Amino acid sequence: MSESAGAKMGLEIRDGKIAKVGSTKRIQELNGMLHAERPNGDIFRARVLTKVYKETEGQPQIRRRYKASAELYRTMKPIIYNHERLAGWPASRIRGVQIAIEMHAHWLADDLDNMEIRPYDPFQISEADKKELREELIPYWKDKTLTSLWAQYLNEDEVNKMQAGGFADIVNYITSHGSHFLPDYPYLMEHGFAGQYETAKKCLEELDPQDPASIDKKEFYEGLMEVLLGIKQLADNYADTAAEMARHENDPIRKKELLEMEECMRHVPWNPPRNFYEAIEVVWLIFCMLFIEGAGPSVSYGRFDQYMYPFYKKGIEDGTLTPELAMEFIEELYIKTTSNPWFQSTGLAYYFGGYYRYPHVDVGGIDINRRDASNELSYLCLRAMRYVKTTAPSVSLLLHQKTPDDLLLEAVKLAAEGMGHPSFFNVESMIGMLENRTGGLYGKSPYTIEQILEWGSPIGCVEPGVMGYQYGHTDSCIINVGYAPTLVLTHGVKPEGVDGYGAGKLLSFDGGDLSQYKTYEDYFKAVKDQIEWAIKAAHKNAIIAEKILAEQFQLPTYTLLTRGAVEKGIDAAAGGALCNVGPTIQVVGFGTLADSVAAVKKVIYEDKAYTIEDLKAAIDANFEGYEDLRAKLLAAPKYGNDNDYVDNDAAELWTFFANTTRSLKNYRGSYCDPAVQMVQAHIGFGAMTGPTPNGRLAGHPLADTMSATQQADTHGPTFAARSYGKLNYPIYTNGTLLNMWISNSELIARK
Amino acid sequence: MDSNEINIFDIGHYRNEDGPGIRTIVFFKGCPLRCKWCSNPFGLAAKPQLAFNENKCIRCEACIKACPLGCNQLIDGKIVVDFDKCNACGKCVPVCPAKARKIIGEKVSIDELYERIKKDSAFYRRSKGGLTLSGGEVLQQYEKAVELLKRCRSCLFMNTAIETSAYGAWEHLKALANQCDLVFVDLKHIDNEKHIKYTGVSNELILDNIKKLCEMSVENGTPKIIIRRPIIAGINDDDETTIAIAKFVSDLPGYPEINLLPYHNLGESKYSMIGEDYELEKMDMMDVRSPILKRIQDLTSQYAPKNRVSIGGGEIET
Repeated sequence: MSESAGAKMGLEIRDGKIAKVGSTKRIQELNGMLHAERPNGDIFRARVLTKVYKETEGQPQIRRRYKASAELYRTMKPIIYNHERLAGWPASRIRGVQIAIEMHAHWLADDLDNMEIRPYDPFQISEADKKELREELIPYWKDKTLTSLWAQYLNEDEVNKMQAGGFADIVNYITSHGSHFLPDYPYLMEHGFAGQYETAKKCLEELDPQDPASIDKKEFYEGLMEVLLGIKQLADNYADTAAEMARHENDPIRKKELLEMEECMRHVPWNPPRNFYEAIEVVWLIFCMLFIEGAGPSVSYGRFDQYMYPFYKKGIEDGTLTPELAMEFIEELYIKTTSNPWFQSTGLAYYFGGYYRYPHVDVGGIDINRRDASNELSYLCLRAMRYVKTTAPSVSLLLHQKTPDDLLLEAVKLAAEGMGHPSFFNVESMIGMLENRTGGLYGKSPYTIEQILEWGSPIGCVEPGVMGYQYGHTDSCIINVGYAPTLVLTHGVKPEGVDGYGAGKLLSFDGGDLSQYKTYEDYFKAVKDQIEWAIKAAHKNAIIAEKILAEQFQLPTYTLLTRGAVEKGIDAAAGGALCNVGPTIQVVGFGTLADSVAAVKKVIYEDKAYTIEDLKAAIDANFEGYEDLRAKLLAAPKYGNDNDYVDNDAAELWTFFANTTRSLKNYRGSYCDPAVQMVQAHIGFGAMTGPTPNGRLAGHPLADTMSATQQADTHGPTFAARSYGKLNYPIYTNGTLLNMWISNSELIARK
Repeated sequence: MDSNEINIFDIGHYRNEDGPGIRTIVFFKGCPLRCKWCSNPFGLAAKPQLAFNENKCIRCEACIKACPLGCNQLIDGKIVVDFDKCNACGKCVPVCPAKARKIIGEKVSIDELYERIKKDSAFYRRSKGGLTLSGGEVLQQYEKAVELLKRCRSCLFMNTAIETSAYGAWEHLKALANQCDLVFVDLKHIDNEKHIKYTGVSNELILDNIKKLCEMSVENGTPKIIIRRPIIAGINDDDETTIAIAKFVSDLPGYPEINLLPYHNLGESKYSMIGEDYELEKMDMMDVRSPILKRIQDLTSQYAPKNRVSIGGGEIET
């Protein structure tokens, strides 16, 4: 397919013209239903939360939060559409999302009238719901949101800088709680929620009332058991609805499907699943619940082809399943996953826009004996996406030396579709990251190598995790390192005329007179100082939020799906997981940073064509009247061309960022993890960034992820890859992401 | 020139058309032919030369000050280069902030070239790619090319290929072909008069060399030979030419593949950069799906039924 045809297809899918794609008629219909809707907000959750919190004023926080989740599941209205076989919706309409009022009430009133027409991620909300939000729900919550509570610890300037300054930013962390998670599907496949109920009951009975810790734990266990019964009720309600619909159904095939759905929902997720259908239903329903309870993105399916394979194999062997039917279920899962938009604050949508909730499904990889782990489902997961063509989930191939060529070919065929699927993960690097995760500069992660090998997989964008063993926001703080070379020159002041908060004001700190930068090394050190300042500013503010979250924002469903948390009697938000991650710190604008310091080295310190004062004047003028200086800066060596002149300093800054981050301790006791992962934040952050010494003009996009600056890698993908290969990856314990675009005509057709 | 140095004008990384897999292509400088449609005029002259891209010029006049011979002048608001006077000393290149100037052609030792090619070798493994020597005409520096190919084959186990006009001594071509897995050889016209008219040289030597290449390929089982026909409207796209070429190729031992390359004009803008004129009449690029190509393909297959006939560089059988 030519490139223009690909772009045309993309637009037609977006506009719903060719939405009805999929391997079977049923899938095509479901896909059509998905694309017929626009993203919409639901206030059911906000209403229930408000009711429960009003009724329980003054009671222990954990009791209030757990009761709210239980009530949510108990009272949620089951919805089953025609053609559906997987039951469960997180909101009352397709493409609906529950508005997490305890995250958003402080800003929501300002933008409510605008919600359908805001430039990034508009949402439909009915007029009646808007009225209820404005009059009942927002007034109760606006001083109780995480951001409001966090802001009590800071002055107003700092509050604004941390949310819209464009240098150090934690807005995702303080508006997206309940996120970035690999649920313990392997446990559910074996024990069901009944297993957790038994555990909680036993732990409650064994509590020693003379132990002071038992006071909180009693609340924890009683609350969890109520939530578990709520989940059971939710499944039963779906079973009742399916049965009722079956009674009225005239089509014998549909009637049979509905009766099967009833049987399925009576059994799971309370009991362990007995077949592929029940297992994939568990996968979907739990995913729904996590997006009802949590406000954030990036709940992921993890190593789907591993925990689902026993059910697949059994079904094929006993003749109850065919590969085609399995793929049809997978396609339905993809459609329903795509249905979930992410409801973000207007500020966050500015650079995370696109509704995408970053779910992942991972295939391939290695097993506990380090052998290739791929199976038939690995192929089906990749192939299903070629048929159904949805944006979610991100299908990922865990790539290693023993990946079969056939599987790689299946993945490459999907890549050639040009939809951004699949992601490729280097298993060796991921294992290195997980061995170091949260361990700090001199320590190791709490994981055993067996845990990593068996259930290690990426979360959300690229962050490494181990299914069931890890909880924590892995996308917490953003540091726009591309800003640092400019801020050295402007004495920490944000240039005028760019987006966001505080243009013309002090954004970081004044490092002093420019005349002190006599050598390139002096300047390079000053850039590092700016970066270090930003990392520490974000960190100190994020750990305040972390403390508030641990004390007041419990997550019962996440806790139930975190291995060992129930036995420990600690909520996931408070540190119940084996590995407690976050707040983490991410890099934005790495290529801009690398090119900027190299341009300064070449033009100012080596060629001495201009002085650093000239450069400051040019930056202040956004290069107007400094065209020759700008041309020289643009002509300096660029990162991404296998040129050590740039790449060596880039690698030093890369390591400096990671080490500075990993030396910082978080509230729950583990160390901070660094990452490079922000898929599209370089555009929003670019708009907030003044001119940079690589010759980039104010407001233009930064280099994305860890890639070379746009159009700066002039020696082709192999030389770009050689530059990227010079960086140390396992020290980025929260993951790294490289985007490479290769035009369709550059691909080699396999005949 | 130092006996160990090769005169090249470009190295292409991540190419996928001239041979199997992902390839590095080294373009040799200097060519004995003057095909009117040549898409790579930078490869014609053996000597280094200045290329000036007027579209990038910001008229800063730095080049005027830098040139010791006074080759650059500002005329009617545009920088004009006197290419006849220019000796390609290169003094105007680093001073140009817009990167509008470049010296085409560099002398690179075989050792250095080998090191540069080696950088890509990690990417060849899965794609079974390798090195293609192109040009210009590789035959003109065949001794050094043989040395380079030999080293890449023995040290890096690379797949190797050349693209040649076959206009040179058979012994030279044979030495090169002996170091190749694949040889692309051009057949621009079957009619000798027209060949002389449009390329400046006779095709007798070329046709003879093609025969010998095919014989050698059959005898040794290697290299694979692919005969490339550039298709230029009004010059060699008529049925008569197609039938004559098909007959010629069908008589060759081993039934080599015929690869039809549709005309493109991407090289046209390069002519003015080196002060040359593009002599070919202005015409549109030929699409790979053009009916003319389809007709040529069908007709060729009719008269050379045992030879595979492919269209476009990406379609060759590898």
